[in-house]
Amino acid sequence: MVKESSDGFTALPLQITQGITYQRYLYLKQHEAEGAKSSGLFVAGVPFFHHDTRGVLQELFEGFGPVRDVVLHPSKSSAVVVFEKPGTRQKVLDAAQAKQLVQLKLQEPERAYGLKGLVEAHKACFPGNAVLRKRLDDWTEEFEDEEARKRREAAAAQEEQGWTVVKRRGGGRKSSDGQGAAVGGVALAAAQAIAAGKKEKHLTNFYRFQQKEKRRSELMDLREKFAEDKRRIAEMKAARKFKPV
Amino acid sequence: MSHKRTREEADLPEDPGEDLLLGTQESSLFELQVEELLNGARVDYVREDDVEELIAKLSALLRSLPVKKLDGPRGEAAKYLKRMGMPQKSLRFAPPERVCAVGGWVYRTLASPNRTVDVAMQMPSSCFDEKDQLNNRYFARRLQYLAEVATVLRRNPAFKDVSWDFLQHDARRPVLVITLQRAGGETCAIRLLPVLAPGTFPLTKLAPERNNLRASAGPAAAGADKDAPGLPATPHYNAAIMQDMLLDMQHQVLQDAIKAHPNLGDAIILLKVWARAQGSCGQPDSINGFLLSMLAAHLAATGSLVHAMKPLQVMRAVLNALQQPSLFSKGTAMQRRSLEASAGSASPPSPAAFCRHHVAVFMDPSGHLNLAAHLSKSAIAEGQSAARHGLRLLDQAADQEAAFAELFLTKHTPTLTYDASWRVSVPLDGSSGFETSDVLPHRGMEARVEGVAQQALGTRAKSVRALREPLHSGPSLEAASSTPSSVSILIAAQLDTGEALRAVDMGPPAESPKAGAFREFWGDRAELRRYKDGNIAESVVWECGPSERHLVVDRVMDYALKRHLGAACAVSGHAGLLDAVMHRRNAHPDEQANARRQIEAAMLKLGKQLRSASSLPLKIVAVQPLSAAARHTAAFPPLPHPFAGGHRADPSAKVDRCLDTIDLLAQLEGSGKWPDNPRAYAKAKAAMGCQLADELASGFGLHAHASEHCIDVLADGFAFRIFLASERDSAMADASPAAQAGKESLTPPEAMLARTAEHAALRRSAKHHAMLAALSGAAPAFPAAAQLASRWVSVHMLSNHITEPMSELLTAAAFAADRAALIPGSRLSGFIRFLHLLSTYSWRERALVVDPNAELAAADRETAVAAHSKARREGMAPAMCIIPAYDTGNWLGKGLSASVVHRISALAQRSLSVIQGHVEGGLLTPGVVQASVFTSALADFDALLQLSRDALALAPCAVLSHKAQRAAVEQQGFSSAASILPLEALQEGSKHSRAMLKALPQELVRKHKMSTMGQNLLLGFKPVELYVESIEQRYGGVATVCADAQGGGLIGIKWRSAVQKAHELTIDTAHAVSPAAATSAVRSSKAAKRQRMANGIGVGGAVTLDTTSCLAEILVMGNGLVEHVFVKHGSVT
Repeated sequence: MVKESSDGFTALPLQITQGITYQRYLYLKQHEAEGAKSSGLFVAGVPFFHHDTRGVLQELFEGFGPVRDVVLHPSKSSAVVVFEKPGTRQKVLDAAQAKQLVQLKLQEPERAYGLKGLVEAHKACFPGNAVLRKRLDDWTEEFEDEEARKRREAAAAQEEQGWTVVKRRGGGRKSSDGQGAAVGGVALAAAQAIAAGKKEKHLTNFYRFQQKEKRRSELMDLREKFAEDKRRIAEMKAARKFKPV
Repeated sequence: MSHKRTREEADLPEDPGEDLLLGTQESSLFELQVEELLNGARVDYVREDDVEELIAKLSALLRSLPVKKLDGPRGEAAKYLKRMGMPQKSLRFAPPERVCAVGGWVYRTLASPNRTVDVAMQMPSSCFDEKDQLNNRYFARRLQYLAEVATVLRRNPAFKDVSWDFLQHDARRPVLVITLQRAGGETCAIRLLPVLAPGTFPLTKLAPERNNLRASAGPAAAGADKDAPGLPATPHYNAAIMQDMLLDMQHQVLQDAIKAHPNLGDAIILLKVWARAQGSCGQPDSINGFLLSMLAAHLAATGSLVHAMKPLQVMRAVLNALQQPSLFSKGTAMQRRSLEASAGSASPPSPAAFCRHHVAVFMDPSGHLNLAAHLSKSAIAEGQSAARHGLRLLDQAADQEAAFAELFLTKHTPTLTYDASWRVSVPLDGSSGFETSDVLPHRGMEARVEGVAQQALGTRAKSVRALREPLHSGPSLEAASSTPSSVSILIAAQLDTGEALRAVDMGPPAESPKAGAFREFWGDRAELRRYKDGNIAESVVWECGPSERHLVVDRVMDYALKRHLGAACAVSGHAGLLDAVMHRRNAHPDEQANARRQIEAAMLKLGKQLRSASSLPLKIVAVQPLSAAARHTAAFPPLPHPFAGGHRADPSAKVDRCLDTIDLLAQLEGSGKWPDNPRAYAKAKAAMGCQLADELASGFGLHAHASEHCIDVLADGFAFRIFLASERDSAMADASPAAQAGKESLTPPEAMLARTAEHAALRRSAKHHAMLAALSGAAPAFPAAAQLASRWVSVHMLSNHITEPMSELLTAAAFAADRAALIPGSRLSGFIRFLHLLSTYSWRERALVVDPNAELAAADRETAVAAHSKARREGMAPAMCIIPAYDTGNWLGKGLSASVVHRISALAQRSLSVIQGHVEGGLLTPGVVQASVFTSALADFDALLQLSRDALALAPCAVLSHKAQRAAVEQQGFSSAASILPLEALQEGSKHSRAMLKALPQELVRKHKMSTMGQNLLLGFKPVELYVESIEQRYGGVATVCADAQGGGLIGIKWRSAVQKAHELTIDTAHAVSPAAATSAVRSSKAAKRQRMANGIGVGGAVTLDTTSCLAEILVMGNGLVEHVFVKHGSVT
């Protein structure tokens, strides 16, 4: 379990060089996840990197010993580092305890970053019609294959359980109801949406008790509104609203 | 069915409050508010008991004055009389016959904060000669009498604080105001009104058609008793004398009426508060509190008011009477009451005589005096329009709280009520006319200027009003009333938006008898013009470019006033006051105005092409615009771009690298063949987009590029971004939580695109556009006002807080009918209302429902407001909440923190007061106004990031150039952060992070053969917004970020104080802090350091904000974009 008190944290000073050099702190704490061996280190205050943050963290902590895995929080400001050996974690904590400054020098990224990175990413949204079509077609093909495979597997599983799978007879969808009126194909999702939109009709004023209840609730509503108005007036008075200009 | 039976059937418990409840079910909130207002406005007369004693003391003092003969006026009185051209006569001073309180104090209708007690002082008839009503003699002696009293009072320590004021701002009728020190340090004022016994002068001689000011005031003429035939009548002069004689009677009538009607007193207080809020009370020629009281008394006497009416209902009845056009114009007479015997029993003049000489007639109970003599036509129109608006609010307001505030609590200054105003100063030839003119010269000039302005504007204006200069009270007469050599008049007009901007004034046909008068008025500018229908008519043509249309009104006024009042008169209008901030430095204003029309044409054409695209499997059935540029509310619409096939008017214009897109929504026809899986559906739609792009390219020769979310098309110089919609979208959006999950891995630009393309967002913007387009139709000034508003928002670096739709909605709310008497008719008045709304709305307490077209059902509005107030009670309500009518479940402004909302209000208040001061006071120059309204308040920030000029596509739109900006930053107390951060290393940058987004010279484009669309033009790319978003994401809990999306190259950062203090480490802000001990360790001695190491404590519990590393990281994030960092002096340790 992660302890929430800040007392458990130890600050590890870190000097980062990426374009400019500056100093900051990583906040470290033992990470006691259930079922895992006690070799996890919770790291808060993860800096921003143009490089892949996970990779940088791995590289950084490999300076202390072999790292098995780095798991990054989606906010990218905290992570859990799991070491191969339990001793490595203590080494890191000791270094932090001793206020040993760790230097991290990052080379300039190979690919575009910063503003140019944004420009490139923007351009990548519009890869050209042909490329995009190819990509979409590939995706669809893959998706359909996957769907077909799932269907097959399901059928196979059912057959294995002793069911006889009956194939549907071929033939297009009905486009007329046989009496000349056209019947459009309605997709399942659309049909469901239509069905959800329909409401059952009730007669609300049919029975005497209904009328009675309606009147009653109307009066209750009025009373409630009156109380609400009173409350509002009190608030406005408190805000010194009624000062004539 | 009887009420009783219903209750029995409903089986309700008895409740004492029920009758109240049932009786007030419709407007209980309004009634309750009125009650509270009355509680606040009533004067606590018990607490003011000692005032009665003071009046008694004053009375005793004055009554004991000795009789004496004064040879002539002395001191300031003599000077004043000389300047006014009044005779200097001797006076037989005698003590007043009677000194007693009258008016609101007596019958308890004073409306706080006004606590002036009126005290009538009856001057004995023996002080005056028989014919003193002639030639200002009475007024001269009245002044002498007052001067004598003032001298006496000043000698008495209890009453020594005496100053002069003027009744109805009439220079002939000064009064004394005594400020008294009361126990407890408070002050109270007594206004000493000199009155006459009713019989002092014969009332018949003061009838409206009589002349009492003779031109040749020689001894011979003065002796003449009869009116010389042909002498002009002096109705105003006569009325002024009569008012002193008949004051007592009017007060008696009023007092009786208030005694007879239980709620009349409270209603009069309400009316006074209303009139004061409407701003029409303080004017010399307007409907004042006294007239309203008399009108109420009149209604009570004629049986229009019944005793069961509550104060609000009485007020409504009075407003209803007031709005009748015939009330004053046809003449109304109060119930006649006979005068005392001493006053003579002369029968009063006929009502027709009054109607001939006054524009408004409201006869007092004696039948001799017109109480409405001082009213002007424009003031009546103003009062009546206010009354109509008041009735509308009382009867059909959707939001009762807002309506109440609008009626009683909002001070309506001329800038809020009127659309346009002009300050006119006209030279006045000093002395002439005081002796003989019925109306004093400067009042006459005001009326004349108003007449010319009315004729010049014609149907362009719904109402024109010259705001009369009030006479200010002061300790001495000299200060109080100086006769200046020129009059400065503020003319205000409510414009008719349909007519105001026309370029041609069409006059009567050439052969019509009216043609001469038209020519006479317009002079050389009038010309004969043949119209398309064959009509030949006198016309005046005002030439103006497309960007100058709104200036026509100013030009018309300037020409007409100078023509009729002489070249020496100066006219300054404000129609173009804020134009300069709307201009780009790299384009002519006309070009921008033309671009708006070109966009519309291009959009129409593309829409047709889209609908006719035949090779698509599904047809496009409808195309709807979504962008602000398409509804003319964008401050800077995209200009036609050469890469997109457009032509710039200026051949040397630079070529932009970025082009903003205009978003369109294309509705596909329905089909049942879409895939059922949401993800597969999205891909299929994207494939449809690919096909559409191909079709547009091959069929119409347009550049079209598809992405997964949209299709970008270049057509006629503009870039359009088309989103496809099908009726299946909503079903798919409901069923696709899976599709959301995949979005985390998107790059920032794509994530932004995907957010815009979401079904809910598209539907919302489509409805948003529809609502605002409808509003633009009803209120033509709306788009231009929204442009100014959006510009204001961006200049004050609030772009990331008040988003574009929000600023549009706020402007739309300012145009809503229940907020304004008339819908704003000019861009400036719309913008002023926007600022007024921002600065006065109680954001913390109330949600703002924006429903300018009144399309929201009352129940829906109630539900929406109730949801907000419930959230507020639970402490969950956002600091600002804007509820648009089209989607009441979607609150805008949710993300704003209370401090940002506070800042917005404060900034709006500051801008508003500057504009109001300029327009109403006329003290500043337009340049200063512009500079103070459109300058960002930088001093409040802790750090500023200056963005690289090369990276800003909209840099030419910024108010300040790059250099000027840096100077402004340094002037505001910021210095470069180079001392704490090695900025040079970053500024050099590398080719991997830098990008040129600035406009390029055309030669360069030609040289490098870039004039193909290719990869050179970035469509709809907004790097600053992306950057700000990423900072907010990472540092939102640590700092408030402010940015300008319209080219201003600064990003402001204000650290949150909670993080700046030493606090316990929390995981979500751990990336921004350093141990509290560590920061001081830098300076501490080695021994201390060793000791701390021995203790072995890394984080001693407390951490503080590490601004240096935060700035460093923000800088790293904005690699290639940020050029410089500034920090506040003294914040660097």
